[in-house]
Amino acid sequence: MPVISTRGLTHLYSKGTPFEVAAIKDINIDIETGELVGIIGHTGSGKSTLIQHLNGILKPEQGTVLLEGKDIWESKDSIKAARFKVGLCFQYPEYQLFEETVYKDIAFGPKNMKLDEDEIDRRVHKAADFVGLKEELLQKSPFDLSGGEKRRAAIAGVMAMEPKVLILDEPTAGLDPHGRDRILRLIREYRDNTGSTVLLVSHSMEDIAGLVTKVMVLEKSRVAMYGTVQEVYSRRRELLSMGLDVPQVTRIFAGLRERGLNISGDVFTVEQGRRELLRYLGKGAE
Amino acid sequence: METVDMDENIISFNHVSFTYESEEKVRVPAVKDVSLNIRKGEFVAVLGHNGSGKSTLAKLTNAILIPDSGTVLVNGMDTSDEDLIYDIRRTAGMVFQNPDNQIVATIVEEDVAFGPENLGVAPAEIRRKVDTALQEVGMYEYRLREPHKLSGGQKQRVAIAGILAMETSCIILDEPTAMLDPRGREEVMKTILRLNKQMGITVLYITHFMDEAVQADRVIVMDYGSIILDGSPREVFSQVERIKSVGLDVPQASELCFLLRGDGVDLPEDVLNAEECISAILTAVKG
Repeated sequence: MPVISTRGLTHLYSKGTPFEVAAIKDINIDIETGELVGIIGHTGSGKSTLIQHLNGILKPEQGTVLLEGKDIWESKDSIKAARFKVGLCFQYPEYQLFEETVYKDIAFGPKNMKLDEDEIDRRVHKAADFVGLKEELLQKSPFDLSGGEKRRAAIAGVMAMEPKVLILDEPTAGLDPHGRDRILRLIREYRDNTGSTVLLVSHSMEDIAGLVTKVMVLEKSRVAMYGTVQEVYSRRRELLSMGLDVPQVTRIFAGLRERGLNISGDVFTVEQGRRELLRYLGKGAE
Repeated sequence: METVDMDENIISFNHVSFTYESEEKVRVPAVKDVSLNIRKGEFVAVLGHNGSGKSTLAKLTNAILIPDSGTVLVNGMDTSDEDLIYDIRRTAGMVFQNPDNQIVATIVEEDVAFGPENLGVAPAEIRRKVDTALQEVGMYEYRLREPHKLSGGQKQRVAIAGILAMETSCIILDEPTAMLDPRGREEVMKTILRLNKQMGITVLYITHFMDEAVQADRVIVMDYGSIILDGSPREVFSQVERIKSVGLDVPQASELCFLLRGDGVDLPEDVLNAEECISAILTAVKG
Protein backbone atom coordinates (compact mmCIF):
# COMPACT_ATOMS: atom_id res chain seq x y z
CA MET A 1 0.00 0.00 0.00
CA PRO A 2 1.31 3.47 -0.81
CA VAL A 3 2.28 5.52 2.24
CA ILE A 4 0.92 8.70 0.74
CA SER A 5 -1.54 9.29 -2.09
CA THR A 6 -3.67 12.03 -3.53
CA ARG A 7 -6.91 11.73 -5.45
CA GLY A 8 -8.18 14.55 -7.64
CA LEU A 9 -6.24 17.08 -5.58
CA THR A 10 -6.89 20.60 -6.83
CA HIS A 11 -6.07 23.98 -5.34
CA LEU A 12 -7.04 27.37 -6.70
CA TYR A 13 -5.52 30.70 -5.74
CA SER A 14 -7.68 33.85 -5.57
CA LYS A 15 -10.72 31.63 -5.87
CA GLY A 16 -13.90 33.33 -7.03
CA THR A 17 -12.06 36.39 -8.36
CA PRO A 18 -11.12 37.22 -11.96
CA PHE A 19 -7.52 36.31 -10.99
CA GLU A 20 -8.38 32.71 -10.16
CA VAL A 21 -5.49 30.38 -11.08
CA ALA A 22 -5.02 26.72 -10.41
CA ALA A 23 -1.87 26.04 -8.41
CA ILE A 24 -2.41 22.31 -8.73
CA LYS A 25 -4.97 20.56 -10.83
CA ASP A 26 -6.31 17.03 -10.44
CA ILE A 27 -3.19 15.51 -8.91
CA ASN A 28 -3.32 11.72 -8.49
CA ILE A 29 -0.14 10.26 -7.03
CA ASP A 30 0.81 7.12 -5.13
CA ILE A 31 4.12 7.07 -3.32
CA GLU A 32 5.27 3.73 -1.96
CA THR A 33 7.02 3.35 1.40
CA GLY A 34 10.77 3.80 1.25
CA GLU A 35 10.91 5.69 -2.03
CA LEU A 36 13.25 8.65 -2.35
CA VAL A 37 11.41 10.91 -4.75
CA GLY A 38 12.91 13.93 -6.49
CA ILE A 39 10.27 16.54 -7.36
CA ILE A 40 11.29 18.73 -10.29
CA GLY A 41 9.50 21.65 -11.87
CA HIS A 42 9.77 25.37 -12.44
CA THR A 43 8.75 28.02 -9.97
CA GLY A 44 4.99 28.22 -10.30
CA SER A 45 4.58 24.63 -11.47
CA GLY A 46 2.79 23.73 -8.25
CA LYS A 47 5.55 21.98 -6.26
CA SER A 48 5.18 24.01 -3.08
CA THR A 49 1.40 23.88 -3.15
CA LEU A 50 1.48 20.12 -3.56
CA ILE A 51 3.87 19.45 -0.67
CA GLN A 52 1.97 21.80 1.61
CA HIS A 53 -1.11 19.66 1.07
CA LEU A 54 0.75 16.47 1.93
CA ASN A 55 1.19 17.42 5.57
CA GLY A 56 -2.02 19.34 5.94
CA ILE A 57 -0.76 22.92 5.94
CA LEU A 58 -3.21 23.53 3.13
CA LYS A 59 -6.65 21.96 3.09
CA PRO A 60 -7.77 20.56 -0.25
CA GLU A 61 -10.51 22.49 -1.98
CA GLN A 62 -11.17 19.47 -4.11
CA GLY A 63 -9.86 15.96 -3.76
CA THR A 64 -8.19 14.11 -0.91
CA VAL A 65 -4.79 13.40 0.61
CA LEU A 66 -4.46 9.85 1.90
CA LEU A 67 -1.88 8.84 4.49
CA GLU A 68 -1.61 5.06 4.75
CA GLY A 69 -4.94 4.84 2.99
CA LYS A 70 -6.83 7.26 5.26
CA ASP A 71 -8.00 10.76 4.47
CA ILE A 72 -5.84 13.05 6.61
CA TRP A 73 -8.78 15.46 7.02
CA GLU A 74 -11.13 12.76 8.33
CA SER A 75 -11.03 14.08 11.91
CA LYS A 76 -9.22 16.51 14.20
CA ASP A 77 -7.01 13.70 15.46
CA SER A 78 -6.15 12.44 12.00
CA ILE A 79 -4.99 15.83 10.76
CA LYS A 80 -2.91 16.36 13.90
CA ALA A 81 -1.33 12.95 13.46
CA ALA A 82 -0.63 13.69 9.79
CA ARG A 83 1.38 16.78 10.69
CA PHE A 84 3.68 14.65 12.85
CA LYS A 85 3.87 11.73 10.46
CA VAL A 86 4.67 13.90 7.47
CA GLY A 87 7.57 16.22 8.32
CA LEU A 88 8.05 19.25 6.12
CA CYS A 89 11.26 21.21 5.93
CA PHE A 90 10.79 24.52 4.12
CA GLN A 91 13.14 26.35 1.81
CA TYR A 92 15.80 28.31 3.72
CA PRO A 93 14.66 26.60 6.94
CA GLU A 94 17.43 28.35 8.88
CA TYR A 95 15.34 31.53 8.77
CA GLN A 96 12.87 29.77 11.02
CA LEU A 97 15.30 28.98 13.82
CA PHE A 98 14.12 31.03 16.76
CA GLU A 99 14.94 29.38 20.08
CA GLU A 100 17.68 30.42 22.51
CA THR A 101 19.72 27.32 21.87
CA VAL A 102 20.21 24.86 19.06
CA TYR A 103 19.05 22.13 21.44
CA LYS A 104 15.70 23.83 22.06
CA ASP A 105 15.22 24.40 18.37
CA ILE A 106 15.72 20.76 17.49
CA ALA A 107 13.51 19.79 20.46
CA PHE A 108 10.65 22.03 19.32
CA GLY A 109 8.93 19.43 17.12
CA PRO A 110 9.26 16.47 19.50
CA LYS A 111 8.01 18.69 22.34
CA ASN A 112 4.89 19.53 20.38
CA MET A 113 4.35 15.81 20.00
CA LYS A 114 4.08 15.66 23.81
CA LEU A 115 6.88 13.12 24.11
CA ASP A 116 8.50 12.67 27.52
CA GLU A 117 11.75 14.47 28.37
CA ASP A 118 13.97 11.41 28.01
CA GLU A 119 12.60 10.59 24.60
CA ILE A 120 12.98 14.22 23.49
CA ASP A 121 16.58 14.22 24.72
CA ARG A 122 17.34 10.98 22.92
CA ARG A 123 15.87 12.29 19.67
CA VAL A 124 17.64 15.65 19.82
CA HIS A 125 21.02 14.00 20.29
CA LYS A 126 20.34 11.41 17.65
CA ALA A 127 19.24 13.98 15.06
CA ALA A 128 22.08 16.39 15.87
CA ASP A 129 24.60 13.58 15.65
CA PHE A 130 23.11 12.42 12.40
CA VAL A 131 23.42 15.79 10.69
CA GLY A 132 26.94 16.19 12.08
CA LEU A 133 26.38 18.93 14.66
CA LYS A 134 28.87 18.55 17.48
CA GLU A 135 27.59 18.17 21.05
CA GLU A 136 29.07 21.52 22.16
CA LEU A 137 27.05 23.38 19.51
CA LEU A 138 23.76 22.30 21.09
CA GLN A 139 23.94 24.88 23.87
CA LYS A 140 24.88 27.70 21.52
CA SER A 141 22.47 30.20 20.05
CA PRO A 142 21.42 29.12 16.54
CA PHE A 143 22.54 32.54 15.36
CA ASP A 144 26.15 31.72 16.25
CA LEU A 145 26.25 28.85 13.79
CA SER A 146 27.63 29.05 10.26
CA GLY A 147 25.20 29.02 7.34
CA GLY A 148 25.69 25.33 6.66
CA GLU A 149 25.35 24.42 10.36
CA LYS A 150 22.11 26.41 10.64
CA ARG A 151 20.69 24.59 7.66
CA ARG A 152 21.59 21.22 9.18
CA ALA A 153 20.16 22.24 12.59
CA ALA A 154 16.87 23.11 10.93
CA ILE A 155 16.77 19.81 9.09
CA ALA A 156 17.62 17.97 12.34
CA GLY A 157 14.55 19.61 13.90
CA VAL A 158 12.30 17.91 11.37
CA MET A 159 14.19 14.61 11.52
CA ALA A 160 13.82 14.57 15.32
CA MET A 161 10.09 14.16 14.85
CA GLU A 162 10.95 10.85 13.14
CA PRO A 163 8.30 11.32 10.47
CA LYS A 164 7.24 8.44 8.23
CA VAL A 165 7.46 10.79 5.30
CA LEU A 166 10.11 13.50 5.21
CA ILE A 167 9.60 16.29 2.69
CA LEU A 168 12.36 18.80 1.98
CA ASP A 169 11.79 21.86 -0.19
CA GLU A 170 15.06 22.66 -1.96
CA PRO A 171 17.30 21.75 0.96
CA THR A 172 20.46 22.73 -0.93
CA ALA A 173 19.34 26.19 -2.15
CA GLY A 174 22.07 28.78 -1.72
CA LEU A 175 24.71 26.28 -0.56
CA ASP A 176 28.09 25.86 -2.22
CA PRO A 177 28.88 22.51 -3.91
CA HIS A 178 30.49 21.08 -0.78
CA GLY A 179 27.53 22.02 1.44
CA ARG A 180 25.13 20.72 -1.20
CA ASP A 181 26.85 17.34 -1.47
CA ARG A 182 26.87 17.00 2.30
CA ILE A 183 23.12 17.62 2.61
CA LEU A 184 22.29 15.28 -0.27
CA ARG A 185 24.42 12.54 1.27
CA LEU A 186 22.65 13.03 4.63
CA ILE A 187 19.25 12.70 3.03
CA ARG A 188 20.24 9.49 1.31
CA GLU A 189 21.65 8.04 4.54
CA TYR A 190 18.56 9.09 6.48
CA ARG A 191 16.33 7.24 4.08
CA ASP A 192 18.61 4.17 3.98
CA ASN A 193 18.91 4.02 7.80
CA THR A 194 15.30 4.64 8.74
CA GLY A 195 13.43 3.18 5.79
CA SER A 196 11.35 6.37 5.71
CA THR A 197 9.92 7.80 2.56
CA VAL A 198 11.62 11.00 1.45
CA LEU A 199 10.39 13.64 -1.00
CA LEU A 200 12.93 16.14 -2.16
CA VAL A 201 12.09 19.25 -4.17
CA SER A 202 15.01 20.23 -6.40
CA HIS A 203 15.84 22.46 -9.33
CA SER A 204 18.74 20.34 -10.45
CA MET A 205 18.34 17.33 -12.70
CA GLU A 206 22.05 16.64 -12.14
CA ASP A 207 21.81 16.64 -8.33
CA ILE A 208 19.00 14.12 -8.15
CA ALA A 209 20.20 11.83 -10.97
CA GLY A 210 22.40 9.64 -8.81
CA LEU A 211 20.33 9.99 -5.66
CA VAL A 212 16.63 9.24 -6.04
CA THR A 213 14.54 6.14 -6.73
CA LYS A 214 11.79 8.08 -8.51
CA VAL A 215 11.41 11.42 -10.25
CA MET A 216 8.20 13.44 -10.35
CA VAL A 217 8.01 16.26 -12.88
CA LEU A 218 5.43 18.97 -12.32
CA GLU A 219 4.43 21.21 -15.17
CA LYS A 220 1.62 23.73 -15.30
CA SER A 221 -0.07 22.51 -12.11
CA ARG A 222 -0.09 18.85 -13.13
CA VAL A 223 2.13 15.82 -12.68
CA ALA A 224 3.65 15.48 -16.15
CA MET A 225 5.87 12.48 -15.39
CA TYR A 226 6.47 10.06 -12.55
CA GLY A 227 8.92 7.19 -12.86
CA THR A 228 12.50 6.05 -12.42
CA VAL A 229 15.39 8.32 -13.39
CA GLN A 230 15.78 6.30 -16.56
CA GLU A 231 12.09 6.50 -17.47
CA VAL A 232 11.91 10.24 -16.94
CA TYR A 233 15.34 11.30 -18.26
CA SER A 234 14.86 9.36 -21.49
CA ARG A 235 12.02 11.74 -22.42
CA ARG A 236 14.43 14.56 -23.15
CA ARG A 237 12.40 16.22 -25.88
CA GLU A 238 9.41 16.65 -23.57
CA LEU A 239 11.65 17.85 -20.75
CA LEU A 240 13.19 20.45 -23.06
CA SER A 241 9.75 21.69 -24.03
CA MET A 242 9.15 22.33 -20.32
CA GLY A 243 12.39 24.27 -20.06
CA LEU A 244 14.12 21.44 -18.19
CA ASP A 245 17.19 19.64 -19.41
CA VAL A 246 18.93 16.37 -18.74
CA PRO A 247 22.47 16.36 -17.25
CA GLN A 248 25.39 17.28 -19.51
CA VAL A 249 26.75 13.74 -19.33
CA THR A 250 23.41 12.38 -20.61
CA ARG A 251 23.63 14.78 -23.55
CA ILE A 252 27.18 13.62 -24.24
CA PHE A 253 26.12 9.97 -24.48
CA ALA A 254 23.08 10.83 -26.60
CA GLY A 255 25.49 12.70 -28.90
CA LEU A 256 27.85 9.73 -29.10
CA ARG A 257 24.97 7.46 -30.10
CA GLU A 258 23.82 9.95 -32.75
CA ARG A 259 27.31 9.86 -34.21
CA GLY A 260 27.04 6.12 -34.58
CA LEU A 261 28.75 4.82 -31.45
CA ASN A 262 27.08 1.65 -30.21
CA ILE A 263 26.85 2.85 -26.66
CA SER A 264 24.07 3.07 -24.05
CA GLY A 265 22.13 6.31 -23.87
CA ASP A 266 21.03 5.51 -20.30
CA VAL A 267 23.76 7.54 -18.66
CA PHE A 268 22.70 10.02 -16.00
CA THR A 269 25.78 10.47 -13.81
CA VAL A 270 29.47 10.96 -14.60
CA GLU A 271 30.31 7.64 -12.94
CA GLN A 272 27.77 5.80 -15.12
CA GLY A 273 29.30 7.49 -18.15
CA ARG A 274 32.77 6.41 -17.18
CA ARG A 275 31.68 2.79 -16.73
CA GLU A 276 29.75 2.73 -19.98
CA LEU A 277 32.66 4.04 -22.02
CA LEU A 278 35.08 1.61 -20.41
CA ARG A 279 32.64 -1.21 -21.15
CA TYR A 280 32.52 -0.06 -24.77
CA LEU A 281 36.29 -0.07 -24.91
CA GLY A 282 36.34 -3.51 -23.31
CA LYS A 283 38.27 -2.24 -20.32
CA GLY A 284 35.83 -2.39 -17.43
CA ALA A 285 36.16 -0.03 -14.46
CA GLU A 286 38.21 -1.27 -11.59
CA MET B 1 57.21 42.85 -12.81
CA GLU B 2 54.16 45.02 -13.50
CA THR B 3 54.08 45.39 -17.25
CA VAL B 4 50.39 46.14 -17.75
CA ASP B 5 49.60 49.78 -18.45
CA MET B 6 47.80 51.08 -15.34
CA ASP B 7 45.30 53.01 -17.45
CA GLU B 8 43.99 49.71 -18.75
CA ASN B 9 43.17 48.39 -15.30
CA ILE B 10 39.88 49.43 -13.81
CA ILE B 11 40.54 47.50 -10.60
CA SER B 12 43.93 46.85 -9.02
CA PHE B 13 44.62 44.96 -5.81
CA ASN B 14 48.14 45.38 -4.56
CA HIS B 15 49.10 42.99 -1.72
CA VAL B 16 45.70 43.36 -0.09
CA SER B 17 44.87 41.71 3.22
CA PHE B 18 41.71 41.93 5.28
CA THR B 19 40.90 40.30 8.61
CA TYR B 20 37.55 40.13 10.37
CA GLU B 21 37.45 40.25 14.13
CA SER B 22 34.79 38.14 15.82
CA GLU B 23 33.01 39.10 19.04
CA GLU B 24 35.45 37.00 21.02
CA LYS B 25 38.28 39.02 19.47
CA VAL B 26 39.33 36.10 17.37
CA ARG B 27 40.92 37.37 14.20
CA VAL B 28 39.77 35.58 11.07
CA PRO B 29 41.79 36.41 7.96
CA ALA B 30 39.43 36.60 4.97
CA VAL B 31 41.74 37.90 2.24
CA LYS B 32 45.46 37.27 2.40
CA ASP B 33 48.00 39.23 0.37
CA VAL B 34 45.97 39.32 -2.83
CA SER B 35 47.33 41.08 -5.89
CA LEU B 36 45.08 41.28 -8.89
CA ASN B 37 44.45 43.46 -11.94
CA ILE B 38 41.18 43.60 -13.81
CA ARG B 39 41.22 45.27 -17.21
CA LYS B 40 38.47 47.48 -18.56
CA GLY B 41 35.82 45.42 -20.31
CA GLU B 42 36.85 42.11 -18.79
CA PHE B 43 34.29 39.60 -17.49
CA VAL B 44 35.92 38.00 -14.48
CA ALA B 45 34.23 35.27 -12.45
CA VAL B 46 35.46 34.63 -8.92
CA LEU B 47 34.74 31.08 -7.78
CA GLY B 48 35.12 29.79 -4.26
CA HIS B 49 33.30 27.87 -1.56
CA ASN B 50 31.61 29.59 1.38
CA GLY B 51 34.26 31.28 3.49
CA SER B 52 36.88 31.33 0.73
CA GLY B 53 37.07 35.12 0.85
CA LYS B 54 35.32 35.78 -2.43
CA SER B 55 32.61 38.04 -0.97
CA THR B 56 35.21 39.95 1.03
CA LEU B 57 37.10 40.50 -2.21
CA ALA B 58 33.92 41.95 -3.74
CA LYS B 59 33.31 44.25 -0.78
CA LEU B 60 36.90 45.49 -0.90
CA THR B 61 36.37 46.45 -4.52
CA ASN B 62 33.84 49.17 -3.87
CA ALA B 63 34.97 50.43 -0.50
CA ILE B 64 32.39 48.63 1.64
CA LEU B 65 35.51 47.22 3.28
CA ILE B 66 38.92 48.93 3.40
CA PRO B 67 42.08 46.78 3.35
CA ASP B 68 44.08 46.31 6.58
CA SER B 69 47.17 46.41 4.43
CA GLY B 70 47.85 46.92 0.75
CA THR B 71 45.82 49.10 -1.60
CA VAL B 72 42.77 48.73 -3.82
CA LEU B 73 42.54 51.13 -6.73
CA VAL B 74 39.32 51.64 -8.69
CA ASN B 75 40.04 53.57 -11.87
CA GLY B 76 43.14 54.82 -10.09
CA MET B 77 41.20 55.94 -6.99
CA ASP B 78 42.39 54.56 -3.67
CA THR B 79 39.43 53.02 -1.76
CA SER B 80 40.95 54.07 1.56
CA ASP B 81 40.46 57.75 0.65
CA GLU B 82 37.08 58.63 2.18
CA ASP B 83 36.68 61.68 -0.05
CA LEU B 84 36.59 59.43 -3.09
CA ILE B 85 33.99 56.99 -1.83
CA TYR B 86 31.10 58.34 -3.96
CA ASP B 87 33.22 58.45 -7.08
CA ILE B 88 34.37 54.90 -6.42
CA ARG B 89 30.83 53.60 -5.98
CA ARG B 90 29.74 55.45 -9.11
CA THR B 91 32.50 53.67 -10.98
CA ALA B 92 31.95 50.23 -9.49
CA GLY B 93 28.39 49.40 -8.41
CA MET B 94 27.44 46.35 -6.45
CA VAL B 95 24.56 43.85 -6.72
CA PHE B 96 24.00 41.59 -3.72
CA GLN B 97 22.80 38.05 -3.24
CA ASN B 98 19.35 38.51 -1.75
CA PRO B 99 17.05 40.27 -4.22
CA ASP B 100 14.69 41.25 -1.40
CA ASN B 101 17.30 43.10 0.60
CA GLN B 102 18.20 45.71 -1.96
CA ILE B 103 14.87 47.11 -3.07
CA VAL B 104 14.15 50.51 -1.55
CA ALA B 105 11.11 51.83 -3.45
CA THR B 106 7.54 50.66 -4.06
CA ILE B 107 7.63 51.19 -7.84
CA VAL B 108 10.26 49.67 -10.12
CA GLU B 109 11.29 52.93 -11.81
CA GLU B 110 11.58 54.75 -8.49
CA ASP B 111 13.87 52.03 -7.26
CA VAL B 112 16.11 52.45 -10.29
CA ALA B 113 16.05 56.24 -9.85
CA PHE B 114 17.31 56.00 -6.27
CA GLY B 115 21.00 56.02 -7.21
CA PRO B 116 20.98 58.94 -9.67
CA GLU B 117 18.72 60.92 -7.30
CA ASN B 118 21.27 60.54 -4.56
CA LEU B 119 23.96 61.72 -6.92
CA GLY B 120 21.97 64.94 -7.48
CA VAL B 121 21.25 64.34 -11.14
CA ALA B 122 18.70 66.72 -12.74
CA PRO B 123 15.14 65.25 -12.99
CA ALA B 124 14.93 65.18 -16.80
CA GLU B 125 18.29 63.49 -16.91
CA ILE B 126 17.16 60.95 -14.29
CA ARG B 127 14.14 60.10 -16.43
CA ARG B 128 16.36 59.40 -19.40
CA LYS B 129 18.86 57.35 -17.41
CA VAL B 130 16.19 55.27 -15.71
CA ASP B 131 14.40 54.49 -18.98
CA THR B 132 17.64 53.56 -20.69
CA ALA B 133 18.77 51.37 -17.80
CA LEU B 134 15.44 49.53 -17.65
CA GLN B 135 15.56 48.91 -21.39
CA GLU B 136 19.08 47.55 -21.12
CA VAL B 137 18.02 44.88 -18.61
CA GLY B 138 14.73 44.16 -20.42
CA MET B 139 12.54 45.45 -17.60
CA TYR B 140 11.14 48.62 -19.22
CA GLU B 141 7.65 47.17 -19.50
CA TYR B 142 7.67 46.53 -15.78
CA ARG B 143 8.66 50.09 -14.86
CA LEU B 144 5.38 50.88 -13.09
CA ARG B 145 5.08 47.55 -11.30
CA GLU B 146 5.62 46.88 -7.61
CA PRO B 147 9.06 45.29 -7.14
CA HIS B 148 7.90 42.79 -4.51
CA LYS B 149 5.57 41.19 -7.04
CA LEU B 150 8.40 40.42 -9.46
CA SER B 151 10.23 37.10 -9.70
CA GLY B 152 13.71 36.78 -8.18
CA GLY B 153 15.40 37.08 -11.56
CA GLN B 154 13.39 40.19 -12.40
CA LYS B 155 14.27 41.77 -9.04
CA GLN B 156 17.95 41.18 -9.71
CA ARG B 157 17.61 42.78 -13.15
CA VAL B 158 16.01 45.82 -11.50
CA ALA B 159 18.96 45.95 -9.09
CA ILE B 160 21.33 45.84 -12.07
CA ALA B 161 19.35 48.64 -13.75
CA GLY B 162 19.79 50.70 -10.59
CA ILE B 163 23.54 50.43 -11.01
CA LEU B 164 23.42 51.15 -14.75
CA ALA B 165 21.38 54.29 -14.10
CA MET B 166 24.44 55.68 -12.31
CA GLU B 167 26.38 55.03 -15.52
CA THR B 168 28.94 52.90 -13.78
CA SER B 169 31.63 51.33 -15.91
CA CYS B 170 32.02 48.29 -13.67
CA ILE B 171 29.47 46.02 -11.99
CA ILE B 172 30.35 43.77 -9.07
CA LEU B 173 27.85 41.00 -8.42
CA ASP B 174 28.10 39.03 -5.19
CA GLU B 175 26.40 35.67 -5.82
CA PRO B 176 23.46 37.33 -7.59
CA THR B 177 21.88 34.02 -8.57
CA ALA B 178 22.40 31.97 -5.40
CA MET B 179 18.77 32.40 -4.38
CA LEU B 180 17.21 32.14 -7.85
CA ASP B 181 15.65 29.26 -9.76
CA PRO B 182 17.21 28.10 -13.05
CA ARG B 183 15.11 30.49 -15.15
CA GLY B 184 16.03 33.45 -12.95
CA ARG B 185 19.69 32.44 -13.09
CA GLU B 186 19.59 32.34 -16.85
CA GLU B 187 17.90 35.76 -17.07
CA VAL B 188 20.56 37.36 -14.90
CA MET B 189 23.42 35.67 -16.73
CA LYS B 190 22.09 36.69 -20.16
CA THR B 191 21.68 40.27 -18.96
CA ILE B 192 25.20 40.40 -17.60
CA LEU B 193 26.70 38.89 -20.74
CA ARG B 194 24.89 41.44 -22.88
CA LEU B 195 26.06 44.38 -20.78
CA ASN B 196 29.59 43.10 -20.94
CA LYS B 197 29.72 42.23 -24.63
CA GLN B 198 27.62 45.07 -26.04
CA MET B 199 28.30 47.94 -23.66
CA GLY B 200 31.80 47.00 -22.61
CA ILE B 201 30.94 47.10 -18.92
CA THR B 202 33.53 45.43 -16.72
CA VAL B 203 32.03 42.58 -14.70
CA LEU B 204 33.32 41.06 -11.50
CA TYR B 205 31.05 38.11 -10.88
CA ILE B 206 31.25 36.25 -7.56
CA THR B 207 29.67 32.80 -7.67
CA HIS B 208 29.94 29.20 -6.66
CA PHE B 209 28.15 28.01 -9.80
CA MET B 210 30.72 26.53 -12.12
CA ASP B 211 28.36 26.67 -15.13
CA GLU B 212 28.22 30.46 -14.77
CA ALA B 213 31.96 30.85 -14.42
CA VAL B 214 32.46 28.90 -17.66
CA GLN B 215 30.85 31.82 -19.52
CA ALA B 216 33.32 34.43 -18.25
CA ASP B 217 36.52 35.57 -20.02
CA ARG B 218 38.57 34.78 -16.98
CA VAL B 219 38.06 32.68 -13.86
CA ILE B 220 39.72 33.29 -10.51
CA VAL B 221 39.46 30.55 -7.89
CA MET B 222 39.83 31.51 -4.24
CA ASP B 223 40.52 29.30 -1.28
CA TYR B 224 41.22 30.41 2.30
CA GLY B 225 41.65 34.02 1.28
CA SER B 226 44.15 33.45 -1.51
CA ILE B 227 43.89 33.21 -5.26
CA ILE B 228 44.85 29.65 -6.18
CA LEU B 229 43.95 29.64 -9.89
CA ASP B 230 43.62 32.47 -12.40
CA GLY B 231 43.12 31.96 -16.12
CA SER B 232 40.67 31.35 -18.93
CA PRO B 233 37.79 28.96 -18.12
CA ARG B 234 39.55 26.35 -20.25
CA GLU B 235 42.80 26.67 -18.32
CA VAL B 236 41.11 26.72 -14.93
CA PHE B 237 38.66 23.86 -15.45
CA SER B 238 41.36 21.59 -16.79
CA GLN B 239 42.61 21.51 -13.18
CA VAL B 240 39.90 19.04 -12.20
CA GLU B 241 41.60 17.63 -9.10
CA ARG B 242 42.63 21.02 -7.78
CA ILE B 243 39.12 22.43 -8.16
CA LYS B 244 37.40 19.44 -6.62
CA SER B 245 39.87 19.51 -3.72
CA VAL B 246 38.63 22.98 -2.75
CA GLY B 247 35.00 21.84 -2.77
CA LEU B 248 33.95 23.17 -6.18
CA ASP B 249 32.44 21.59 -9.27
CA VAL B 250 33.84 21.28 -12.77
CA PRO B 251 31.67 20.71 -15.88
CA GLN B 252 30.62 17.06 -16.19
CA ALA B 253 32.39 16.95 -19.58
CA SER B 254 35.69 17.93 -17.91
CA GLU B 255 35.19 15.49 -15.06
CA LEU B 256 34.31 12.58 -17.35
CA CYS B 257 37.44 13.13 -19.46
CA PHE B 258 39.53 13.48 -16.31
CA LEU B 259 38.29 10.16 -14.90
CA LEU B 260 38.72 8.35 -18.22
CA ARG B 261 42.27 9.68 -18.58
CA GLY B 262 42.91 8.06 -15.19
CA ASP B 263 41.63 4.81 -16.68
CA GLY B 264 44.14 5.10 -19.50
CA VAL B 265 41.89 6.51 -22.21
CA ASP B 266 43.76 9.04 -24.32
CA LEU B 267 41.69 12.23 -23.93
CA PRO B 268 42.75 15.89 -23.87
CA GLU B 269 42.91 17.82 -20.58
CA ASP B 270 41.07 20.94 -21.65
CA VAL B 271 37.60 19.66 -22.52
CA LEU B 272 35.03 22.22 -21.41
CA ASN B 273 31.63 21.35 -22.89
CA ALA B 274 29.48 18.50 -24.24
CA GLU B 275 30.38 19.08 -27.91
CA GLU B 276 34.13 19.03 -27.24
CA CYS B 277 33.72 15.94 -25.09
CA ILE B 278 31.84 14.08 -27.84
CA SER B 279 34.51 14.94 -30.44
CA ALA B 280 37.33 13.99 -28.07
CA ILE B 281 35.78 10.61 -27.24
CA LEU B 282 35.08 9.87 -30.92
CA THR B 283 38.71 10.64 -31.76
CA ALA B 284 39.96 8.52 -28.87
CA VAL B 285 37.87 5.43 -29.66
CA LYS B 286 38.55 5.55 -33.40
CA GLY B 287 42.23 6.38 -33.07
